Amino acid sequence: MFQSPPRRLRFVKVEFAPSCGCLGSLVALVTDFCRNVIDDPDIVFAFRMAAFELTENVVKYCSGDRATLEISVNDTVEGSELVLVTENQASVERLQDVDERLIAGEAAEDPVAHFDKLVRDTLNSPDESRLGLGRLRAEADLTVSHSISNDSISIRVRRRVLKTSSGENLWQ
Amino acid sequence: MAMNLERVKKEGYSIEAHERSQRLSVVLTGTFDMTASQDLQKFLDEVRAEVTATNPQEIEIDVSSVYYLGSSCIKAFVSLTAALKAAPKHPRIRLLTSSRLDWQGRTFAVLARLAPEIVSVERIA
Repeated sequence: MFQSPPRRLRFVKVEFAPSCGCLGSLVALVTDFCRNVIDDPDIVFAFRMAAFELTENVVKYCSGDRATLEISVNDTVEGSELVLVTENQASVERLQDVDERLIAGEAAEDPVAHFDKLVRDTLNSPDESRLGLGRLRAEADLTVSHSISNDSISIRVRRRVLKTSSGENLWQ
Repeated sequence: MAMNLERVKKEGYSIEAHERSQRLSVVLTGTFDMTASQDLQKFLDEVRAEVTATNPQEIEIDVSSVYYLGSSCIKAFVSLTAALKAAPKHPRIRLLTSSRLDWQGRTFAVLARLAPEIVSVERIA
């Protein structure tokens, strides 16, 4: 009987056609991945929230017919980290708007105060909440970064994870 | 008191309300992502109209069985809170969160920061 060598789950990457119908499946995939590598309900929920918010943004604003989502565990000099990345095409106006908002969010010294400002601002925004990216830092203690290349945007959220469910360091 | 709030029951979430002794109680159950935001916004708009019509002293919103609340649904709560804060006779808003789901406290705390004079967030078993 064939036995595959033991391998740890390191990443899952999915290409998908953005639609509301794929939301639940993508969130479930990210949540299951996190549960497999970390026994910390707070961190699992943080990435569940990130999966919802990032995927909803892709569904709402993607201008192409394909987008990608990747969840991974990466080694860093400080230990391991969970990383969730979405990438999609968007209009020039949308890219500029998101770029400005993400730069402001990433630069904010107090993420809760920044989110409270976004909450007050949302009252003047009739169609959009514009809260999703801000809450990832304020509520879920996630580090958010982004890059824009031509007509595509990549948004990355990450958080350090030091221990597995058995209490051992990851990837040693 | 008038009561014009029709129960919402969809796959994945439900919203209902009842009213007694100067208290309007709203109960949310399920997952409130972007697909639920229109229903929630409409329901909370109706809650606001009901409050204007009946002047309850208190609105109790039980979110302890909510498993996720997306940003578009947070916006619906923010709009309700701001509207009631600005109303001449504003009722107290008590948000009941689950002691087992820590994220609820963090998520709904933003409403207490927005209107601390009328909003309280309480943990229930």
